[in-house]
Amino acid sequence: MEKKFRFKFSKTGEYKYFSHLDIITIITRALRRAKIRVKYSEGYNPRPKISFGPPTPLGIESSAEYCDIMVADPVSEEELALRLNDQLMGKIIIDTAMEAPPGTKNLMSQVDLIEYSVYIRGRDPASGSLEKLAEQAGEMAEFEGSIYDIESGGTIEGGEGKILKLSGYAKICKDRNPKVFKLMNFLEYLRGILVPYGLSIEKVIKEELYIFKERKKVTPFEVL
Amino acid sequence: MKDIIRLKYHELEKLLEGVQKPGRYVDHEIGVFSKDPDLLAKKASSVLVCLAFPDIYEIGMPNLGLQILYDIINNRHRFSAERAFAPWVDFEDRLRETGTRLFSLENRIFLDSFDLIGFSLQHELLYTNTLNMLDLSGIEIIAENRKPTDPLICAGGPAMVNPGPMSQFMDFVVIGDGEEIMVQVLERISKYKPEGGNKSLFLKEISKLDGVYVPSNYRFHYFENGKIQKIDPPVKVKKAILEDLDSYKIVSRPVIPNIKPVHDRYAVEIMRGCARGCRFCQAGFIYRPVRSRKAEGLIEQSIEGLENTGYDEISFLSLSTSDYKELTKLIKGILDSNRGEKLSVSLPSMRLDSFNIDIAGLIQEGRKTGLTFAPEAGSQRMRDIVNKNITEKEIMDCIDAAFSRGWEKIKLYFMIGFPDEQEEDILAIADLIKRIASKARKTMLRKKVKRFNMNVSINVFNPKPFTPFQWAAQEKIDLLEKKIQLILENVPQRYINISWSDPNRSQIECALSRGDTRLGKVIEDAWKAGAKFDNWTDLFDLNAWTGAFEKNDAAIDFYTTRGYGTDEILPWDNIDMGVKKEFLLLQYKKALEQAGSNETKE
Repeated sequence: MEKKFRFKFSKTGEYKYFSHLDIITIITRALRRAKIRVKYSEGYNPRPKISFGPPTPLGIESSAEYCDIMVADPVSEEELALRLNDQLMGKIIIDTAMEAPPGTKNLMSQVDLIEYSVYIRGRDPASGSLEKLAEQAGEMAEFEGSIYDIESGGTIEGGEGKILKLSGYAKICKDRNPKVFKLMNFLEYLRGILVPYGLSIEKVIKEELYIFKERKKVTPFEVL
Repeated sequence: MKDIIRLKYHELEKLLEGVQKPGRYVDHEIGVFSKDPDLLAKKASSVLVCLAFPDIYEIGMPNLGLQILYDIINNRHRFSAERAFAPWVDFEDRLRETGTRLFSLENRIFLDSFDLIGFSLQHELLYTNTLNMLDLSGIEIIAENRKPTDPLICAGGPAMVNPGPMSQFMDFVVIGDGEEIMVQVLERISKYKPEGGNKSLFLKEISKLDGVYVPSNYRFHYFENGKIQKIDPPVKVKKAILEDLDSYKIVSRPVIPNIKPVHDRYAVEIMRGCARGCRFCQAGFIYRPVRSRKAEGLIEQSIEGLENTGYDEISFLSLSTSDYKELTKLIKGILDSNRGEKLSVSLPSMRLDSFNIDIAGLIQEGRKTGLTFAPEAGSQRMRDIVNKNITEKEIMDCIDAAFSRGWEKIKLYFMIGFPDEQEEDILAIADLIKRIASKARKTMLRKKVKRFNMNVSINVFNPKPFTPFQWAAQEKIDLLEKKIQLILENVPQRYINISWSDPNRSQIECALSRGDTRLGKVIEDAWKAGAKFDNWTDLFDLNAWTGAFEKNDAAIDFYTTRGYGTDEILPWDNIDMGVKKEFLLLQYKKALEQAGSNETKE
């Protein structure tokens, strides 16, 4: 009896300060507390069959953390999420769990794009600098050849001045594409552009992961 | 009622930008208690305690004492305990640059808003970090300079059994087992706080309790030669003893660190105290009498703890685990309960003999990686002097048993600088290391020999208070260095890695542990000269310390390489640790006789 599941959780608030490895330990311990037994691989050095999506840099919030596990007990999708959430005590929240057909490729080899939102604050809306920046989005997408696309999500009113949302799709390093997108390098580059405009980065969120399927980008759940 | 002032989350976010391991400065672990401080503040009888650990989060969190006190205090509804650790140097810089005071993890309460700050001092090289944490909190380091509204400051732990050197910084010191005494102290804070916080009345009240030492009650008088003339009043403070360990359950819901701590496992104390009597070992004397938990309760509570935490490793702690009578029952009980899940059991402080190798085999099925073994000395003569009861035959039988059963790695602990140590004794260490290595390589499976690996750790002997060697002199630094060299020259280092402690640092540790009240000024000046994290090789600043000793006309040698006279008043003579001075002296004389008798034989 074994079942493969894929579940999604977010890493927000204080949890952005814990590394990818820390989060793996936290989830693994929660699985043990929830008495959900993870299958182990055969062989000399058995390892639990659990794998995670691409790591999120320290200090960045994420609503798109994914985990694949092979479970040895007969649990349902709802039960898996419920039991894990009970054990995580609201510190991390599993929002969806889905059963994955046997043979589903693991996340790291499937994922093609990571979507980040960068919120940029302009304190002086009259200057029109946010709008000028939005027009520049296409140019920014040239960054190190590792970005698939950047779109402007328009501006919203917020506190002092306005906030512009940029949505960027970073390419994941695969064999065909040796360029690795480094978020921290990109943010440094972006800050360089923002300074003359008097703009600043408000926050950065990892929004979603995408996989190309028949030339369309779909989420890790949609691909199942 | 004083206001409870807190750091806001967005301020924390700003502070943590670019800081390494920001997870050290936030809580949100499983098992954390976070009581609403504003709600607590409305109750006049509530007490807000900060458990301060003057080292980084990763080192502080596995400390069992911290977890025990956190659990006991927070399980009482009137009391709340939050944690604070020493910020690493990068975060300290950030705090100082921005003028932000140190705050607790749970509710980010600035430390000066607490009623009580209790420091856990595990060793003397944390003294400067303690001052640094007070200073970062905006609190005067000297007790008598503090304002009535400041928190009470106390300390406990093995590095406070001689309270002398740290006494000018502490309102009171806790000696002995903390479980009961902590609650008694908090009850008295709760009683005296509403009455306008009369500190001197409160200190008078708690000084009646066993285990509470109030430094301001004592005056030390010194002779011109630096020795103590008189301690006034001649009243000893008895250490607090928890008679029955089983009267408190083990912590079944500990705080589970979110960032990887130095020991990442479920720690359970099975026994407190040790009856072995190794004459250099302070823990062996200050934690007496020996008390055990019953295996039955331990099994039940450990299983509960493992289920609550999700740990896959449990560690049974004591000073000498092989002396625990129900060890086999305990291990079987735990392993039997845990069918189907992977669980490893670790037993630090095992005396290694063939019987225990069988036990070790039982718990490490398939994962026979490393064994730790402490012969301490190389020659039988020296092992007799220090009362380390193990023979060379026993050592070799144990190596034989372990390596023929599949072990590949071993770690050995030795100590140098013992009383009456001769060159032959040092050469005997090198010799024993070589013989152990060759025995192991001969015994182990041939295909595994390539993986053979041995680590040897050489520590410097520090005569410590409340041990039979408390009067002994520490070896001179140049001699210690020569001895280390001698070992290095005589051991082939192809598959043997040797590490050793820095004699310069050991001398400071020794001076602080055997120091008197006058060293308070030295600690203060060393800290002002930049000393902190003294236990970290790359941060230890010898000049800060030698400068501080010089500035105060104090000689380090007076506290280290000088043997203390057996008729001298010792700086810790006003503390009653339960072990009689006459007994220690008898043991010391025995050691000296053993040294002498062997010399005549040669």
